[in-house]
Amino acid sequence: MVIRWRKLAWGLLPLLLLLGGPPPLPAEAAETLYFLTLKRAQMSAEGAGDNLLDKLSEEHGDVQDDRAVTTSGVELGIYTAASSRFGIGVSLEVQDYAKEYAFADDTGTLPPEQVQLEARSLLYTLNGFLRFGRFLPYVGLGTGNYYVKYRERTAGISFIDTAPQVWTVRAGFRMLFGRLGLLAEAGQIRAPLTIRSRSETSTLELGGDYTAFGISWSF
Amino acid sequence: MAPGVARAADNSGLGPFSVRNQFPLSLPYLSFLPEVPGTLGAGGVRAAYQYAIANTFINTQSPERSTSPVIDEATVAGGLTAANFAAQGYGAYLDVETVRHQLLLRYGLLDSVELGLDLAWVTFGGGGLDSMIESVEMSVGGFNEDRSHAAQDRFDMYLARDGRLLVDTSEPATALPQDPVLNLKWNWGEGGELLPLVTLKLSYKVPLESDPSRPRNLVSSGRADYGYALLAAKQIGSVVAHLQIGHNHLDVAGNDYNTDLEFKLFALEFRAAEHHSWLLQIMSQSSLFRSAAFNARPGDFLLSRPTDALTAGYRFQGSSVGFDLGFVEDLNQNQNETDIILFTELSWQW
Repeated sequence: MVIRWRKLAWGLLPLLLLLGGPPPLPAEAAETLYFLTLKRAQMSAEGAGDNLLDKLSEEHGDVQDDRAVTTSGVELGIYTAASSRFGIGVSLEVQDYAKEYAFADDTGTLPPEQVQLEARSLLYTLNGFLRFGRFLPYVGLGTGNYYVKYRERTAGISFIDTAPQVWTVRAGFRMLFGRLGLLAEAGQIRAPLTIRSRSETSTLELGGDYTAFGISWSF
Repeated sequence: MAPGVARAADNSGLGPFSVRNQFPLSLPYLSFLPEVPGTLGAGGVRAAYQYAIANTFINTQSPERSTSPVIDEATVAGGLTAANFAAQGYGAYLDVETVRHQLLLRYGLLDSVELGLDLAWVTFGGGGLDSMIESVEMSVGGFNEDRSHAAQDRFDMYLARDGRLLVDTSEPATALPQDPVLNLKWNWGEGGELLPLVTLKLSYKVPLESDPSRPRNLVSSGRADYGYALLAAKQIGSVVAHLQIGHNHLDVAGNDYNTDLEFKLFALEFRAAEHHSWLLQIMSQSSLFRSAAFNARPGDFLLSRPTDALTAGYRFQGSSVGFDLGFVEDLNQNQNETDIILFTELSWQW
C-alpha cells in the first residue's frame, strides 16, 4: 500500500506542476498561508509499554494480522514566514483508522478472539520550517487526543474510550506548486490507551512510527 | 512596558476565553481556568465580570439504556433515593441549570509576574433552556433521547456511588459563593518570531469554611486544592495558537472522586483586527470520576472518560475595555460534562 501511494504521489507531480500554476514567488511565501491537506499514512500501531496484544495472544493464541494500520485524514495548517530563512506554523489534524486483529491457537486449545478497533485522532502541532523557495522542510512537535471504539467480539466486550496522553514528533517537507502542493512526513505518535475492561494493567499503543503523504491546497 | 499596551511581537494575542468547567459536580473543586498567557506588566490592573449559564442533563439510569434500575419522569417526581441507582459504581441523575457570576481580578506585580484572585457565585435551578436545547438538538439530528424521559426545567441533582448518595437535592439555591482561587502567573519569555511565549500559572483554592453545610457544599469542598499549568502561545501570521497544559490536585473527602486531574487546551485565535478576535478552543480534561473496577458494560466507562468541550466566540479587547461572547459545547456525551454553556464577559484594564 505504501509503495502504491508513493507511485501515485510521484505520478501526480507533473499534473500538479501543470494545474498548480507557477511556483510561489518569495513574496508569496512571506504571506500567511493556510494549507488544507488530505493525508494518508502507514503507522506501526505499536510502541513502548504496549502489552495488550501479547496478553491476548497468551489467552487466545497468536495474532494473525500485521500490527500496522493505514490512516487517512485531513489537516488544516497555518504557516507564515518568520524570517528570510525560517517559517513557523501550526496544524490541526484529524486522522481515522480501523483495524481488526484475529487471534487463533494452532493447537486448538485456546479459544479464538477478534479485536476490532476504530480510532480517531485530533492532533495539534507546532511546526518550524526552513524556507527554500517552494520547498519547505519542517519539524513539528504536538499533542492531541485519540478516541477509540474497542470491541472483543467473542468475549462480548465493547466500549468507547479516550487516550489523552498523546505526543507527536514529526519531520517532513512541503513542496508547493502554486496553490497545490505535496507533503511527505515521517514521525512518531505516542498514544497509549489503558484497556480498562481488563483487571490487570493492559496498554494498547494507538500511534507508533508512521510515514505519511498528502496533497494540499493553499489559500 | 506600560500596562495595556500591545507588544510588538504579540504572541499572546487576546487570549483564550476564561471559562472554567461548569459541570455541576465539579463546582466544589478547583478547575483550570484558561486565560491570556501574557502578563499585564508592572502596575497593571484588570478586572473582569463574566456571566455564564450552563445546562446539564445526565441520566445514567435512562430507559434508553440497558441499565437497571431505570429512572424516568415518574420516578423523579416520586423522589430519588440510593435504591434508584446501581449498587456498584457511579450513578447520576442531573437535570441542572446553573448561572455563574465570575469576578476575576489581576494585578501586575512585576513586568513578568501577575497576581490573581478569582471569585464566583453560583445559582442552581431548573432554568429555562431545556426546550431550546432540545429543539436545537432535534434540528441537527443529535437529540439526546435521555431528555425525552424528563420534565423540562426541573432541578434535580443526584449522584450515587456504590449504593450511597453523595449528592441529593431537588431544592434550587441562589448565589452560593464558591471558594476563592489565588493565582500567580510568571511569564518566562515573550517569545519572538520563532519561539512561543511561555508562562507558568499556579493556582490555589482557599476554602472559606472547612465543613460547608447544605447548600453551600454544592460549590465548596471545604478543602484546599492546588494546580499548575504551562501557558504557551505563538502568533502565526494573523492567527495565534494557544496551548495550555496542566495538572490540578484536589483534596477529596472519602476517596469518592479522582484527586489528580489533567487538562489540555488548544485554541486558534483568528485576529480579525488589532482589537478583535474570533476564537475556537478545545479543552480536554480527565474525569472527576474514578474509573470503574473491572466491568465490561459499555456504560461503565462513560463517566470516567476524559471530557472534551469546544468553545467558540468573539473577543474584543480595547485599550481599557474588553468584551467576550461565546458558547461551550461538549464534543462527546460522556455523562460528565455540561451540555452547553453560554457566556459573556466585560473587562476593564488600566
